[in-house]
Amino acid sequence: MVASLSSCTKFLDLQPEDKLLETQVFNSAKNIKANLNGIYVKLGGSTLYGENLTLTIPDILAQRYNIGTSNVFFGYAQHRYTDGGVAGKMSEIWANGYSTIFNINRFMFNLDNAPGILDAKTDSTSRGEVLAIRAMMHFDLLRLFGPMYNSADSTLQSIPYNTQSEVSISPFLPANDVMNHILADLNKAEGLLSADKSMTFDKKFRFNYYSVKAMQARVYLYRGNKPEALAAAMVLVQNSTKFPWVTLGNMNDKANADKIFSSEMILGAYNPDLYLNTGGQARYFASGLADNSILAPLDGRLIAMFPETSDFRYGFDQLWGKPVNKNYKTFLKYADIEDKAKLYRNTIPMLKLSEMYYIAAECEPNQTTAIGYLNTVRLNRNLGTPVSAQQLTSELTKEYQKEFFGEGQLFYYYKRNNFTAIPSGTSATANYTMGTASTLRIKYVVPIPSPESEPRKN
Amino acid sequence: MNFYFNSLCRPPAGVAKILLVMKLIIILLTAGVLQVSASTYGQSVTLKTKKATLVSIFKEIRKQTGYDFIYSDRMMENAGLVDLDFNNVSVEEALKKAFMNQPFIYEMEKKIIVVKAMPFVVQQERIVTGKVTDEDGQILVGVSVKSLKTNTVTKTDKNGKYAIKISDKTDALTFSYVGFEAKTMPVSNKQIIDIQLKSSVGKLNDVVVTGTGIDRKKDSFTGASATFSGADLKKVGNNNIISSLRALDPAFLQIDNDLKGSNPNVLPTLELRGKTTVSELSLKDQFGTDPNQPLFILDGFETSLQAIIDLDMNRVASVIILKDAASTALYGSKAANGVIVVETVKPIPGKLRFSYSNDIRIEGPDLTVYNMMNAAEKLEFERLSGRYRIDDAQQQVVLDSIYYQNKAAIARGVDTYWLAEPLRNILSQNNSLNVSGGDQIFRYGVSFNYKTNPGVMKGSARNSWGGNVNLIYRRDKININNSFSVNGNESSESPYGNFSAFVNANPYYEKGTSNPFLDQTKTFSSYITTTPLSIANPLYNASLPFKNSTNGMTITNNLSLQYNILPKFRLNGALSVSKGASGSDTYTSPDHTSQAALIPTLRGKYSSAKSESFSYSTNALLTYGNVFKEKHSVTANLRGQLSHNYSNSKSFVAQGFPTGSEPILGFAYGYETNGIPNSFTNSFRSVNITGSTNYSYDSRYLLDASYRLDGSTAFGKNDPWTPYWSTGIGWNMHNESFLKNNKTITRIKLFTNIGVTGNQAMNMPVSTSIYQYLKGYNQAGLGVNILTLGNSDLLPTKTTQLSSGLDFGMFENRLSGYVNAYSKVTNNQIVAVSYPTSSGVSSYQFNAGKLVTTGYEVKLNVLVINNLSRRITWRVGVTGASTDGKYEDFGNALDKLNAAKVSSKSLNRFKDGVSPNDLFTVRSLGIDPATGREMFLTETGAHTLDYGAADLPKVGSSKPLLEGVISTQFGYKDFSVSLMMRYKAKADVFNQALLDKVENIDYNDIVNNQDKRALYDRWKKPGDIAQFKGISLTDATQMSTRFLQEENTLSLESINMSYTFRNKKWLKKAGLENLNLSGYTNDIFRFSTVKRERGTEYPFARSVSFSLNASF
Repeated sequence: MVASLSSCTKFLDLQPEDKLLETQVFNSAKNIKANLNGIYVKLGGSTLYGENLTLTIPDILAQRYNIGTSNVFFGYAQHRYTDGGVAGKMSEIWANGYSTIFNINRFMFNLDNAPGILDAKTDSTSRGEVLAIRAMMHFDLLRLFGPMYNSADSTLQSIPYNTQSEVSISPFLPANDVMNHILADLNKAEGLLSADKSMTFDKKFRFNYYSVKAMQARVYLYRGNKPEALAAAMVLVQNSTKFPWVTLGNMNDKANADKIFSSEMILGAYNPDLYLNTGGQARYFASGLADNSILAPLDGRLIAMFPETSDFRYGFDQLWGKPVNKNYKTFLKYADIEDKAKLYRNTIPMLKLSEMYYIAAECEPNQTTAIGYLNTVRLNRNLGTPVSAQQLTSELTKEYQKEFFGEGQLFYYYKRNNFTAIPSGTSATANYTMGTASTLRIKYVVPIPSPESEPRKN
Repeated sequence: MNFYFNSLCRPPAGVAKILLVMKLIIILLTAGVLQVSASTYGQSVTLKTKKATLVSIFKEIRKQTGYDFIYSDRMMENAGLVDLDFNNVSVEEALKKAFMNQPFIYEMEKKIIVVKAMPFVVQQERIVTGKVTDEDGQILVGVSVKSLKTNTVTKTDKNGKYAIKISDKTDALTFSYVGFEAKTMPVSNKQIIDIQLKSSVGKLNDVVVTGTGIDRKKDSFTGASATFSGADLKKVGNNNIISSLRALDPAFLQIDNDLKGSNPNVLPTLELRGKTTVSELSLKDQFGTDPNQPLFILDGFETSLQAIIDLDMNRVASVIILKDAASTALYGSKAANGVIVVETVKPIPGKLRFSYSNDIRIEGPDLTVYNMMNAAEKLEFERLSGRYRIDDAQQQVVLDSIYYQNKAAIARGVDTYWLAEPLRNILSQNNSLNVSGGDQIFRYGVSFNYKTNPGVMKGSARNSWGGNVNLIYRRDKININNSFSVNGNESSESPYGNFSAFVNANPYYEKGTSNPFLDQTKTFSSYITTTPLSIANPLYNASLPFKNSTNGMTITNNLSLQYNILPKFRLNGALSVSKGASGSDTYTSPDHTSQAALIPTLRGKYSSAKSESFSYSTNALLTYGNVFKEKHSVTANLRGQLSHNYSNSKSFVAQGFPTGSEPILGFAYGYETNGIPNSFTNSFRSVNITGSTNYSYDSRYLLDASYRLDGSTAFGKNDPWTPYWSTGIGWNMHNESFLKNNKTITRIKLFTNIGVTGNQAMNMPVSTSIYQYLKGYNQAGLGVNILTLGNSDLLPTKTTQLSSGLDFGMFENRLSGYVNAYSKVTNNQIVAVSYPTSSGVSSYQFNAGKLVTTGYEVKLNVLVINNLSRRITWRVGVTGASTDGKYEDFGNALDKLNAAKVSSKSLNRFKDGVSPNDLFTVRSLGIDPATGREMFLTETGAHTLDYGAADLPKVGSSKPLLEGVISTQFGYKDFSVSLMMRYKAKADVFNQALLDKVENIDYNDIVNNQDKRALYDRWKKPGDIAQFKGISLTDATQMSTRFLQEENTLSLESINMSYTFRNKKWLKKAGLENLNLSGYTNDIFRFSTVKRERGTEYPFARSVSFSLNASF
């Protein structure tokens, strides 16, 4: 009886054909690798860095585009976070962000329970990578949904930091706690990844020693810890040869220009849908879109922003082009290129060398050294005259405005620096008011999405 | 010497013996004389008598034939009276009949008939021998044979033979054997008694067939079940089993589908004894079923609802509804919603028999529920609601011109009745042929049917066909049965699409198929601007090439074996193998109005899906049955089953077709942009072991117990095993001595049982985490991600059922019926508990809360007239049922679902203590006569114009107080008529159509046709006391008690008339054995206290049907 029962149990041990059981995933190094890659695939998807966190939301919030009352993105541009569509998008970011985090927690938990499947080196780099992603994901949620981070120890309530591998409710933490967790994870990741300091193009799509350092620089600066930010940024500055500046030759390549400056890219997201007609380019930037559904800056604003047409980021008809059917330029950074074999296709930059120079410039106490960093970038963007130390702060702002089109960083620059007024998207000269010092949070702080806050009755 | 020739005198005592001795002498002496006289008489006899004495018959025979009789008068005192009726028969035959049942024998010598007494048996004790067989002539070994007077018991040997000593001729023998009905035979003078025993298995009404092979005698079973024969079902209707079943059993409910009406391609929603699962909570997968649907078993193996609906009704021998735990525990994990067991007809031995059935149904759409405006009314309504009024003078000119354009159309006589356009009256047919025959050892049955079932909307249909070959081999202790079936179906949806497009179309538009749009004029969009309309022409769209069809085929082979190991032990085994394939194709023409916005190369869409399935199931059953000391009857069964199901589906979409293209895949420009092929595979295995026993003491006290251990891939890896059980007790009060000879009460049985069953509707494991390959990729290739996070602590949902009942029969069963009551507590509901999204999952499966369902069923049958001699019967019956449920112990696990109910404007709520039937909405005070606006009553009792949607009170329940069927059947000779009326009392319904088509009409909706009441019954000017708000108000009307109505309905579910022709000369000429003709109407009439639109997307149908049944 017992024997037949156990043979029946064996009969019932059936593996699904087109799906994998968790135990199957963590039984083989190949599947573990696929799970790790799955986390990156998710990051590159449209709900996160493939679109929402780069191409659209933060840039719209930062008034980059000419969004009039009839534009479908009007609600976003006006920071109407409670509008149905806007709220839905925000909760999409929130839910997918935390779902990625949960995948990571589960990944580490299962690695612990399946020792020996991965070799020690792969095991530690895998853990390092996912820890860095967890930190980055939380950091971006904090930047979007968290409070104005005005001091090194902002104790305002922010977001939960989820480290649980089982389904559980993580408490909302003060912003500085979240920041400590982020930095702790990044430091751990650094330790696990520092053994390998080589750089290849493929590695730009994975967290490695350099991208962790770059992320640390960004996080420390957001916290206002300039010395640490500088130290981290300097690692990249010192290794800048690994991330060579984009060249004039590239800008003159009409058919296959590297419009994302991938050589300078430290970390990028891969979105396989980017050029499809369901992808970001076709849905937001394509010249075929109607005026009320396109994301394009006001021509006057664009001209004002780029006083020097020699700028790699403006001239050369690479990033901007005036189509016949429009009287303004449309954004071409994410338009496809001819050679489909180019490795920088489908890529959205998340961290670039230029930002490290900006951070170094902002954090370096020595004014001369500081302006030197900024001018290095300007030089490599084909801008003639260097700027003076007095212009550092204002030029830095201009650099953030020019450098990160379609990369979603500008909004957080404004938020970090408490900008009460920012250049308007609908006017070439006027400013858009973000509020007074006491009301800034209304526009800078996205409310916690409702499916999160509602059932929380624990 | 006295010779008595037909003497009327008394023979002297002691003469009889002498007479006998003398008979030869007389014969010799008279031989010559009588021979001569014989020629003067006729040789045949014609007689017609009633209750005549034997002597008078002798006289008559002598008169006609000249035969003489010799007998004694004293002997004749024992003679019985005789009824005779014959014409020109021989003397021998006449005598044979006259002497039948007389205590005499006769001998015929030439023309003299000597009447003698039966040989006198001196010996009292003697041996009777014989042979016992079953109905098919197979010998039965081990049958116990018992003499009632001597109490000796013996058994039949391996040849089925027995020999037993009896006391005298008044003794009687009782034959009993497991699985057969006991039989008692008086011995009288017989030396050899050969007996045929009738199998108790398979005999309707006496046996509860559970479909597992474990069958129970109805008399000793402690569960609630109902059995209906194929004939019972066909008496209600000839469409399918399900629609007949709901009229017959009060516990079986078919939920009206107000959306899909009578669409033949939509499966009905069924409930047996209420719900066990909160359907919104339940886990479903692609191949899963409705979690509240009963389990269907066809000839012992699980099948789908669709297969049951497609099944040829003429092949159905019986349907058994198993309602409670005692009867369903044998099905363990899938039994909580009850089990419907369908058995098909088995071939009958004999010479080749043909039977043919033709069922015809004529159906027409029921348009009486649509109360739409005509052209003039509609235009007036539009005017009053302000469609043609605008603040901008320039735009006003535009609107005015449109108004007069429409008015001109009406003046021209345009008044299109769009509703009729997509509809038709239809004729559906089922032709069914059955051939059977064979002998005791081998028999065969072959059947084939083809059923067409078009729907009332043009182009929609479901046709099905089936073929079956059934072979039975029986020899000695072995019985092999193999049934091979092939079933196919093809169904198509109507090119006319959603019926609501026709309900909404304005009557002042001219019909035609040439223009893609009915109206492209302008309409009001704000107080100063207008926007162009684009109202698609549903007739234009319907005229385009179209395809939406599905076809499928299933091949099934069921093999079963029975081996009677020992008289008391029987072994059964069965194997079922089934393979199915189906495909569906959907095509939208590139010219369809829905495609107009796309670029030309993307217009037109073709979706194709294919799926296949394979399954096998095998089981073995050991049955033991015995009767100890006559009073202790025990049956025990042990059964094991193993099954595997595999299903796979694949689909893709092609996009872009040349304009005007027919639905041909080859014309596609390409695959759907960024579309990917889809594939889904599911494998499911289960194993179970069942033990079951039934004990009855003296047929008075009954006990049942079952235990099943279910193993399945759905329960998760850690412990795939789940136990289920049931136990029940019963009391046959009518077998008690104090009631045994009671004239009034013929039958009273009380039973109660309790048990635990499961309601697993899905096959996917839910307790294991599953990963999937992501659709996206990156430079490193594909990725794997968590699809579902399994909860390893998850327990299967289990339903504890308590069921009791009382069966009764009175006045020789002239009055019979039952009362059943039950409660079902479904524990461990699997709830997707809403977790904060920061946990990484939006929901997570947990066991939480329970659903408590309670209810009762009543059935009462009165046999008003039961005159068997004149063959008149009249029967009246009433059934009634009521069931209600309640959520318990969920806590806040349902909050998210409840919030979804609130935001989706549902009237139901998910809260502890609330019934799934409870309705919540704002209390309305009606329309304010001064303003035409609705007044509401707040929680605090204040009157307000503001709609407060926060915490709404419970205002009603959709549960009817009682629902059931009143039926009557009248039969006279071969004619019968029956009538079934469904009643439903006091159910609250929210009249959505009233809200949507009378009041909640915003500016965009004004262009759609509306309910007449929107024009006539709405408030128009101050002082109007109206039921509905101001006609010019186009703001949203919120749900309130104003639209909640109490509904009482009475519908004529079925009328049937049937006549059977038999023993008619013309039948014989045609080679027919008998011929039955039946006529039906189904749902021909429905009376409701609430006037509401039913059949939004597909109308309801009413039908008249006919059946012809002939056997050759």
